[in-house]
This record gives sequence, C-alpha cells and structure tokens, in this order.
Amino acid sequence: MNHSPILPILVPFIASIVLLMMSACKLSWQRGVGALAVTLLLAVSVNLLLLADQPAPLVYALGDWQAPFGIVLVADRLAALVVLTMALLSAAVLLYASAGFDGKGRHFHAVFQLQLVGINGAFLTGDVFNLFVFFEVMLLASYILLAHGSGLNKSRAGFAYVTLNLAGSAVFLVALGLIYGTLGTLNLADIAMQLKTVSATEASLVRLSGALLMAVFLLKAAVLPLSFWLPHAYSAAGAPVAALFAIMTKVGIVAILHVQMIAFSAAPVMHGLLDSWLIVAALATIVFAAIGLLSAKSLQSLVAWLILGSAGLLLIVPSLNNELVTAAGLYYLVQSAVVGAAFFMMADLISNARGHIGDAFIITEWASDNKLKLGYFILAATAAGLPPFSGFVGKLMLLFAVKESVMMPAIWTIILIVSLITTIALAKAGSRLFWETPNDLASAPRPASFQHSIFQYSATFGLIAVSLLLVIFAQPLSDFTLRAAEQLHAPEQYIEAVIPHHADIQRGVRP
Amino acid sequence: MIESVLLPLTLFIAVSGVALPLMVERYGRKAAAIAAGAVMALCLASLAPLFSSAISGQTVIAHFDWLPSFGLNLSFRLDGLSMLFSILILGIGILVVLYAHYYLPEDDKLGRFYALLLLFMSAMLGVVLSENLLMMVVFWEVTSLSSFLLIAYKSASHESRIAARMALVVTGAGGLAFLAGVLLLGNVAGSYELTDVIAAATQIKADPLYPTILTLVLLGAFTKSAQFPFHFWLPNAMVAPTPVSAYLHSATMVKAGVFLLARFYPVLSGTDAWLFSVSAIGGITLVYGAYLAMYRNDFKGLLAYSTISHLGLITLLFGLSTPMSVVAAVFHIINHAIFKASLFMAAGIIDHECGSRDMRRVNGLFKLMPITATLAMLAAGSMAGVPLLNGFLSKEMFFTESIVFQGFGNSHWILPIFATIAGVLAVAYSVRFIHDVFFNGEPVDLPRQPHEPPRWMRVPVEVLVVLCLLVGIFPAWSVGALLASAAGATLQSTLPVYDLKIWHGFNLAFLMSLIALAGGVGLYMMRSTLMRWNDQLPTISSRTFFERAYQNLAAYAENILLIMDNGSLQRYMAVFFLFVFIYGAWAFISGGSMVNAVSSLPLDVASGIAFFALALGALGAVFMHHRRLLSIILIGIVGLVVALIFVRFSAPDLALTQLSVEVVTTVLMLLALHYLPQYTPKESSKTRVVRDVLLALGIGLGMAFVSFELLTSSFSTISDFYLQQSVPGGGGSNVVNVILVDFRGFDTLGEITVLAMAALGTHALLNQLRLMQPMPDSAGRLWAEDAHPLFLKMLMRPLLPLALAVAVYIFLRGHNLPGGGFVAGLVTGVALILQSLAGGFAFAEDRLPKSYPPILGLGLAMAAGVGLISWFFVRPFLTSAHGHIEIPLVGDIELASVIIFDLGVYLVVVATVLLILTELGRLNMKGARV
Amino acid sequence: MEAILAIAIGLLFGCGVYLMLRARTFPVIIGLTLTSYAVNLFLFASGRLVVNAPPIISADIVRYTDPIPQALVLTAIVIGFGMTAYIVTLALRGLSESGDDHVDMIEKTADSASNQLPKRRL
Repeated sequence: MNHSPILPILVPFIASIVLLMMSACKLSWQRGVGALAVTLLLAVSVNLLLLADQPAPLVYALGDWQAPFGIVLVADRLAALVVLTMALLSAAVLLYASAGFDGKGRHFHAVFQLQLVGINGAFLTGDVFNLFVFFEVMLLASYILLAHGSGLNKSRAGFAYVTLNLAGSAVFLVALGLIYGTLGTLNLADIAMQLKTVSATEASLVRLSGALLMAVFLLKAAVLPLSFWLPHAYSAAGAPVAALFAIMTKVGIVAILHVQMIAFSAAPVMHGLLDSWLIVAALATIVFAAIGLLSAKSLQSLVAWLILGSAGLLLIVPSLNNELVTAAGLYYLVQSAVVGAAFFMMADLISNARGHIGDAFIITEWASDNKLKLGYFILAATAAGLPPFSGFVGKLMLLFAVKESVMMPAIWTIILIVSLITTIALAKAGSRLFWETPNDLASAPRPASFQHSIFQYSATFGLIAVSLLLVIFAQPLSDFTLRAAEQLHAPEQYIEAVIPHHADIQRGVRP
Repeated sequence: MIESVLLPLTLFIAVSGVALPLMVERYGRKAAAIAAGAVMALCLASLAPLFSSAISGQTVIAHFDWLPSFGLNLSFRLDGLSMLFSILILGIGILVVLYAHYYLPEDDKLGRFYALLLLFMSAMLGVVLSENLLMMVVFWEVTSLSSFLLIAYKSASHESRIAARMALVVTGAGGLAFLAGVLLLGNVAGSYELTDVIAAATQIKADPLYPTILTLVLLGAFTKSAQFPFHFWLPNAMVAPTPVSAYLHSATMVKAGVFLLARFYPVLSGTDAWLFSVSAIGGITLVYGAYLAMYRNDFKGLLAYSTISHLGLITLLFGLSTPMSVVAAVFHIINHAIFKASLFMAAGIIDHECGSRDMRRVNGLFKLMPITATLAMLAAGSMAGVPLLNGFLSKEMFFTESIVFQGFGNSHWILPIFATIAGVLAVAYSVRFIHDVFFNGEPVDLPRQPHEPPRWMRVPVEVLVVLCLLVGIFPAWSVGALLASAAGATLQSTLPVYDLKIWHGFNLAFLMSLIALAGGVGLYMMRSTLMRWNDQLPTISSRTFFERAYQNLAAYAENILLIMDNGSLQRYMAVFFLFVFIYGAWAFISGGSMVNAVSSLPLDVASGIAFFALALGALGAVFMHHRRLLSIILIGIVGLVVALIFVRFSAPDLALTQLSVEVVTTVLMLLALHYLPQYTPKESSKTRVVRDVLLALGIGLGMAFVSFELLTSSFSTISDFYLQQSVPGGGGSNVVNVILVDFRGFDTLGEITVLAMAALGTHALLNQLRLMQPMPDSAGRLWAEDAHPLFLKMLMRPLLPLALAVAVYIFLRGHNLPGGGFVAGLVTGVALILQSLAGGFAFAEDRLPKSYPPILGLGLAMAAGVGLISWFFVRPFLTSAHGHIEIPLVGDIELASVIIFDLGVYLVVVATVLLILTELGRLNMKGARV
Repeated sequence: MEAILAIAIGLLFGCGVYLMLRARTFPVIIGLTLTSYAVNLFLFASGRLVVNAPPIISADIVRYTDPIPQALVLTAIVIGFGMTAYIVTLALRGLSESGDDHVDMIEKTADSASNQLPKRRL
C-alpha cells in the first residue's frame, strides 16, 4: 500500500492537531513542531514528485472505496509539481514567520499547517465536491492568516476578501448541484466520461455548470474583472502571509487546468466555454496589473500587483489549450510563486529597516545594506522578466510557445510592453527606496544600522537562491513541465488510472 | 572541432570572474584591479587559439542543447566579426581596468566597480559570441542591466539616477523589441541558430513578416547605438565615471547596436526597406550629432555627441549596403573605438586634474600638461579625419563610397554633399575641443591646479594613440587581416577589392577631406555667432522631460485605477454577480436546448402555506432589513421552512441538522447584534437600489428557471451503489450518515477542520478586539437590563441532563437512523450555552473547560486517528471496519469503527460552538468591566 | 410542486443577492445566510424531489430518495455555519477598529461623517 499521495495532506494535518493540543505551549515549541512538519512535508513532496513522474498518475482511494464512489486523490505530475513548490514556499514562510510574526496573534502555527492542508488537498483531489471542501479549508485558513496581526487595513481587506469568496463558494455549490444533477457523479474522471455522452436536452445545464465552476476558479485566479480583491488583500496581509498567498492564485489556475484539460477539453458540450474569451480577459488582467504597478505607493502593494500580473500571464495557459504553452506556463507558475514570495519578504525586510516609514515610496534616510540591494535587484530583474533570471526564462518560454496562436501579436505586444513598464516601475521604486536621500541631509540624523533576524534573511535569500537555481536547472524542470503538459493533454491515461473498468459501473436513472 | 570548447570556457571564465574583484577587494584596490585585468586577459588567452581559424575565414561553432523545445540553446560562434569585437571588448577592457584604478577616488575599494565592469564585459562577450539568437538576447539585456548599474555608480547623485533609469528604459525597450524580432525571425527561419537563419535569408526577406522583423531588430540596434531619435540617453549617461564612458559609451556597448547591424546584415539587408531606413536614420544621426557636439560647453558632452555622430556614420554605411560600404563601416568601428576610448580617457584625466569639464573655464592646458595634451590632440585629429591618423582612412572610404554610391538613383548627389557637411562639422567640434581646452588663453577659476597625471594613468591613452598612428600609417600591416576577416564574416560573401593605404592620389574624396578640414576650421572661427544663434533656440532638458513623462504616466495610471477600482466592496460584489450572470447566461443559451417540462408532483395546501411563509420571511428580511432584530427573526422563519422542506422531501437528517444549526446561528446573530448598531441607515442611492434590484431579479429569475429545468429532467447517477453498499459495506442503515462518515468521510474530515478553524479564527480575532460598549437602541436603552432572568435559570438547570441524554441518543443512533455526531454536538453545545445564558457567563466559565483548542485537536485527532489505523491493515486512509458485538442485556449491537470518527466530529462541534459563543459572550464581560 | 420549489429557490437567491449588495456588514451577513439557504435547497434538489422515501435502509422498503445530495448538503450546512460564525466576528472586529459597520470600514473621524470612501493604501 503506497500512501504517498495523501502524505502532503496528512503531514500538515497531524502537525496542526499536535499544535492545537499544545496551544498553551511556548511559541518556540510550536515553531519546532512546525519546522519539523514542513521538513517532513518537503521530504514527502520530493518523494511524491519522483513517484508521480510516470505516464499514469498515482491514485489513492480513500476509505478503500473505488472511484467514482469514494473520494480519490490523484497525483499527476502537475499536482506533484505544485505540491513541491508549495512545500518549498511553506518552509521559507514558516522560517520567516518564526522571527516573531507568529507571535502577533493566536494560533498562527496550527492555522498555517491547515492552510497547507487546504492547498495541498485542492491540488491533489480528484473529486469536485472534495475540491470544494478543500477550497473552504484553504480559504478559511487564509482568512485567519490574513487577519493575523492587527490593523484596520487587515479587517477591511479581510472582510471584502471573505465576503467575495463566500459568494464564490455559493456559486461553487450551485455548480456542483448542477454537475451532480445532470451527470450523476462528482469524480473528475467520471465527469470527463459522462460529458462525452451528454444528451442535447441537458447541454444547456451542463454548460452552465461548467461556466459557474470556471467563474469560481477565475475568482480565485483573480482574472479581470474579478481581480480587485487581490491587490488589497495581498498588500494588507502580513509579509509572510502575503508570501504564502503568492501561490494562492495559483490554486485557482491549477484547478482550472485540471478541470479544463481532464474533463472539459475533450467534451463537445463544453466547446468554447473558456478558450473563446479567456485570452482577452487574461491580457486585460496583465494590463490592469501594469496600471496598478505604476500607481503603487509602497513596495508590498507593488508586489501584490506583480502577483496579479503573473496570474494574468498564467491564465493564458487555459485560454490557449496548447501543450507547449502549458509546459511553459507551469515553469512560469513555479518561478513566479517563488519570486513573488521572496519579493514579499524582501519588502518586509526593507520596511523593517526603514523604520516607521516602512516600505512606502517616501524618501528617507536609512541604513540599507548591500545584501538588501543585491536581493532587491535580483528580484526586480526577475519580476520584470529580464535575463539572466528565471523570470526571463519563463517569459521567453511563454512567448515562444504562443507563437502558433492567432492571438500571438496581441500577447507578445502586451507581455513585452508590460515587461517594460515593470522595469520602469521597479527601477523607480528601487531608486526611491535605496538611492534617493532627503535633501536636507544635515538635519536628518544618520540612522543606526538595523539588525535583521537571521531567520528572515535566510528565508528570503533562500528563496532568491531557489529562483536562481530555477535558471540553472531550467532544463530538467522544463523537461518535467513538458511531461506534465503531455499528461494533461492526454486525459485518457488519467481517466483510465482513476476508473479502470468504466464500463462496469452501474448507474440508476432518476426519477 | 575540439577547440570549440574554448568558446563556452571563455564565457565561463568571464562570468565566474565577476565575483573575483569583490572577493579580493579586502587586499586593496590594486588587488581588485589585478583580478579584473587578469580575468579579461584570461578570456583573451582562452579565445586566442581560435583566432587563426577566424582569420582564415572559418566559423567555429560550439553547440549544447539547453531548452531545445523552446529554441533556447547554449551555442556559440566565433567568426571574423565576433573576433574583432572580442578583441575590442577585452583589449580596451584591460586598458580601462588599468585606467580606472587611477581615476576613481582613493576611498573607493573598487571591488564593486570591477565586478560590475566584468559583468558588463561578460555580457558583451556573450552578445558577440552567441550563435543562438535567443541567447544573444539574453546577453543583450544583461548589457542593459549592467550598464544601468554602472551609470548609477554614483547613486547619491540625482543626475546619475535619472540617467541610469533613462538608459535602462531606452535600451531595455529596444531589447524587448529585439527579442520580439528575434522570436519572429526564428519562427520564419525555423531555427534560432544564426547559421540556419543566415541560410534562410532569402526566405526571410520574402516573408510578409519581414518589415515587422526588420523594424523590431532595428529598434534594438538603434536604441543601443543611440541613433536619432533614441540618442538622448547617451549624453545623459556621461554622468557615469569616465572609465565607464570610455568603455561602454565609446568602445563597446554603443557598438553593440552596430554589431547587430553587422550580424544581421546577411539576413536582413539588400532590400529597399533596409537601405532607406538604415541609411536615413544613420545619416540624420550623423549630422545631428555632429551639429549638437559643436555647441557643448562640457567637453565630455562634446565627445558624447560626437560618438552619436560617428555611430550614425557607421549605421549609414551599413545602410548603403554595398560590399565596400560594409568594409568601411567595419573599419570605422575599429577606428572609432580606438580614438574615442583614448579621447574619453584623456578627457577623464583633464576632468580629474582640473575638477571641471567646462570648456569656458578649462583653457590653455597645453602648458600645464603637454604630454596628455599631445595625446588628446592626436586622438582628436583622428576624430576629425586628419591624414596619417586612423580616422582619416575610414572617413576617406566613406567619402569615396558616398561618391560612387548609386542606390539613390537621380538623387545620388545628395550623399557626397551630406558627407562633406558632416565632415565639416566633425572638424569644427574637434578643433573646438583642441583649441578651447589646450590653448585659448589661461584656465579660468579652476577648482584644482592641473598637472600631468600619474605615469600609469596615461599608459592606456598612450597605447591607444600609438594604435591610432599605427593604423593610420600602416593600415594594411596592422589591421588588414582583422578587417578582412571581420568584413568577410559580416558580408558572408567574398570581399570586394580594396586597397588599404594612406594615399589614393588626389581624387574627389581627398578634395572632400580638404573641404571638411578647411570648412571645419572656418566654422569654428564663426563660433560666437553660431553660439548666439543657437542659444535663442528653445531647449528642454531630456532629463526633465523624462522625469515629467514618468510622473505623468504614474498619475495617468492612478487615475485609471481609481476609475476601475474605487475600493468599494459593493462594487466588487456587483461585478462578481454580474459576471456570473452574464457568463452563466451565455453558457446556458449557447447550449442550445430548452426542456419543455412540467411538474410531476402535485402541489398540496401545506406546501403552499410553507411557501407563503418562506416568501414572507425572505421578502420581509429584504424590505425590513433596516430593522435588524426583525430581520434575524424573519430569516429564522425562512430557516424553519427550509427544514420543513427537507422533512417533506425525505431528508430527516438534513431537517434535524438545519434546525439545530438554525438555533445556534440565531444565538450567534443575536449576540453579534448586541454590539452592532440596531438599525441600518438608509443610505443607498436610488440608482444603486435599482441596479441591485435588477441584478437580484436577474439572478433570482435565472436560478428559479434553472432549478425548474433541473428538477424536471431525469438523470443517471451512481447513487444506487450507496444504497446497496450502505449496510453490507458500511455497516449502517442510515445511508446519508454512512456516506458522511465512510464513503465520503474525507469530506467530513475537511468539514470539521473548517469548523475547528472557524473557532480558532474567532478566538484569534476576538482576542485582539478593542473593548467596546454595546450599542444602545434609539431610545438610548441598553439591551437587557435584567441580565439573567431567574425563571430561565430555574428552567435550564434540570434541562441540561435531559439535553445531554438526548444528545447521546442522537449520537448513538446516527449510523442507522437520522442523527449522528454533528447534530448531537450541536444539541450538547446549545444546551451548555443556554445554561450559561441562564446562569451568566461567569457562572458558565467556572464549569466549562478553560481552553478549547486542545479539545478541537482531540476531536480532529480521533477522526484522523481512526483513519490512520487502517494503515496497519494495509488499507488506505479512512478505511472502515464494522462488526456485531453481543452485549449482555442490550443485545446485538452493530459497532463500526466510524463511531470513533463520529465521536471526533461530536467533540469538534461541541468545542466549536462553545468556543465561539463564549468568546462572543466574554466580549460583553470585557465591555461591562470598563 | 417542482415549480413552487424552483420559485422558492429563485426568491431566496434574489433576496440574498440583494442584501449582499448592501453597504453595511449586518445585511450582508443576512444576505449570505439567505443565499446559503437557497444554495442548500438547490444542491438538495439536484437529487430531485421524492416524497416519503428517506434513505434509511429497511428490509420492507424498495424506494429510496437519492442520498448523495443530502450528504453534500449536510457538509455544506456545516461549512456554511463555520463561515457565518467567522464573518460575524470579522464584522465585529471591523466595527471595533473603524467605529462603523460599513463594509468598506471607513474610519470614523470627526470631519468625515458622510459616506466617504476609504483611504486607499495602494
């Protein structure tokens, strides 16, 4: 019995139970448990990646009830890849948060682990209702983490985020009701099979269910016009939380990819549901993010806009539905999550060192050090998609991959111009933060140098190092994403692995 | 070829050498300089073995696959052109390293400077050695990035920062255009390897995309080479330390643009589009740069504009696209690099010694620093095109070419005139530089007393000036072979016949040279008149313009953003619902079918009344939502009717759950309302109400329609499996419960996780809540004056054991009859809460657990633990087991392992309800204490 | 009967959506509650309407209603309860921090009693 697909969910789950039990214990003990858990999570994620790198995904039938009757976890290459990315990020975030952020409110460590449970569950599950449940676990954890610490900004952004997502959850449930009410199943592979034989009378309801499902995922993925919440929420959250959120929009994208590629793309009834319009919205999102970048007033909000831009870029993947684009998109997904997280941490490091002015783009005298400058430079160049950093590799792969599309001129123009705008905005921001000094130097006292926590430093620069490794190991990684894309674009294997004897499944007609 | 490994090796040395100066800077400035010089020398040594094959016209290629699926490979190439540029980059690089050691102030440890210089050098080397075009773009952009850092080296200065960003924006934008051009080019050619692209030249030129490709590639080249109208960044970049100007802005980086013209010459040239666009831009830049150079008072600025002009000349020559003009272009690349680098370094020495670069103050230096002056004058002579110096030769070639060129048809006379004007201007600004700086009276009010620089600071200038003379006097012997192989590699065909020598006889070209010399001197004589005229022209500093443009852009963006996103949640919600409505409606309608269905179940009176109550409750809640207490009661009614609907349609479990949740939710809402305002103000504008009503109507009608469609259609489902397997497989006859704790137990695990988290979240939120007073009602009364009514206390005490007994009963029967852990948990929770309501929170606090999170943990642990046990039986997580147990007196009891799971659910629910409600209650106590 | 239930679902949705679009936290929460009733009813209805056939296995009964939607609705109710509890506390915290119960949590200062939009931080 190979339990590896469930381990990325169970490890943080058990850790959270332990943390709940010891909620009265000292923070340092909780940190220890958390650290142990993410280390273990990293190990099981690497293991899962190695195991899942095969043509057929790993299937784990919970409760020993076979699909489509029971809930199954399906670890395909995509899921394994994002789970590992998640594990990596969570290790860095936990390290960063352990410098003191975790003590700013109650239950940080337990909720943090549950956040990982939710995200990993959403990545791995092969059942759409179970996906809903894990979405809710993920969302509630993110609500709590967003509110961690205090401040009106957090409450305001939090209330908007929660309300909007609750509306999204309602739509999700309606979609699930429609799916069950027409197809009679909740298992993704089974849905894929059922979609192939939808009768003409049901087509409308089935399409509606698909549209509502996608609308919910698109809300999480923050496509324009559903993206307004993101910059507010991500710039209000505490830095480690924002760093963790760098991968949250990706959950929406991964869900879209799974549902779209496994179930929808081969079904005539879903024809044109997403690919007929999403590219326009994706490009609009990128442009919107660029507008936001230019008007950002602080580094953290600027990074939030960067995250939105990368989300827009990733949405090109489901809208084009092309294997090479998917492969490029997956590389971009990993790199943008890592860089986004590191950038949020960097903003916080800078903010701490600058004292009460924080990361706002206001000129002040402060003791910046060369490490921060170097880190900022690398992150800014990466985010702007300048070589030789991973952002460029990802962008180049995407540009290359979309060359067959009819939308190519628009995609290229927008991506390249937005790259330029990003460069301009980040250069200006860097100049403001690091170079410019107040005019009356005489009156401003020379600030004392700021001592950063070693935890915070190593977490931030660890992620920066990872982003550099993504360039050095671009070849094996892109080979992997190519294989992952191949697997996604050939859903038969997925379906066969989940439900080997599909013809034998009995169905009753109601009413 | 085995030697081809030397290509990647060279780049490896260059890149890995970048950090070296930083590492050795602690051993002193000299160590940093030696390290940087050594890295460059090592690169040169590593490349040198390949030069012989390049000279003989061969192309060395080294290819390694990297991301072949995306066209990006590590492939490198050395031919005559890349050899020429490598020698320029590394040779001048070494001289600049030496020079910078003396130029930069003593307190600069130089590690960072040399690291940046090496980074730039590596990138340049990468550009010229790339065989893969995407690779070339990578290095290309790194030159922009590293030059940004070099220009901003003195980041404390406002001018430096703006100049750096300006250079980054202009060259970065060009780089992106270049990237797009290369991507298209590779797409058309089917490969990104230069060799293949050159081979596909005919096909590329015939492609409809050719004009686009040409435009994009030229944008890259022109921005980098500071061609009009992108030239403005270069003079501003002069704020960089002079070694940087000498290296980047005369010898190498700006040459990257013309390198690009040379590289793509065999691919893109030979069309009218190339001829007219390249030569026009080059020609304009040539004259415009020279004209502006004349008016600079800052001699470094003069050199900068002269550089622009000379780059224009080279561009113009490439544009003419005859074999001979290409030879002249390549030759001028060499010559310009040599004389301009030496001029910049000489200028740096003067600046260094005088503390000023203003030619109105820096005068008469010949007496004070005769050697430097002589060197600078020789180099300036070369710039002006004085015979016996290298600049003369390539300028002569240009003049000859301008005479014989026939590409412009009847207008062929334009070119020679144009060339002569440019020559006149070049002589004029060269004379100005020489005369103003070294003669023209005495220095005026200089900050420092100038004298000759340190011996070694002058060496690089001396070396370069000697080269000017060598090439000028013995051209064929000194650069003949290099020029031939570079020009050959550029043309990718046989070279034209030409003769590298000083004297070609008294011909038209020589006459043009003479006119240029004489006219230039004459123009300089008239300088005061010209200056006065020029001063009248309106000027705008490109720096101010750039900053203002950025500010406008940012302000514009902010305005757009404010229009799109006003920060209002109401708008977000409206947009979301509208999106869902439109997307859903479109998807539904495009599905094409419509079922003509009728209700199958008859309507009965009871249902009608229930519906009436539900509608009353819902609409009442809407119309009277300003009265908050009332709306809680009204939605309570709706909740009850929903429970009734569940009962009516065979869902007793749901009804039970709905009812108990309803109770807890109502308590929760009432507690919350205790602190909130009692009334909602009427503040929505009419239009907003109309908008919201329309949206609500649309969604409501849509959902009603969809529900009806769904309810009246038939479908096939897998649900029979659960009905069949519930008893034999799950050991329970309540199928819903078996699904919850067994078939889909994983969902339930997630569900109680959500519950536990809701409790944790409430706990965390309320912990930090500032104390607040309950809101009085409009009459100023607080809510309850009598806190704990006695009768309630009396009533509740005996009720508690009863309620607990009911809970146990509901829990135990859950697996077979409606009930289960969740409902039992709610009943228990409510009973305990009512106790505390009756007895007061202080009373309850003494009797209830102090800390709930461990109980939540325990509940989750039970649920997950029973799932984990199945691992020991080699079964997946959450596999259940069940069996019959014979208990004396009670009889036969069906016991399933899931009962422990359900117990976990029970614990989580109880703890959650108690935690949330007591936390809310405790707020009251906090408030009361203040 | 199906028609009347469909109308009920639509009515609850419409009312819920309208209230969720209001400007104060409390009606928004009421709206969320109404919407979740509607959603639960809809999800439940996806198994179609069957009278007097609860899914409790008994030897002498042959007809049962579809148990899956019921299980799903149960999960949805519980999750909805958790979310409601959380958003209620979030609203309370917003009230305590801004001094007002507007959904945009406008900070109440002496001079801004009117309906002014919150200061943007971005």
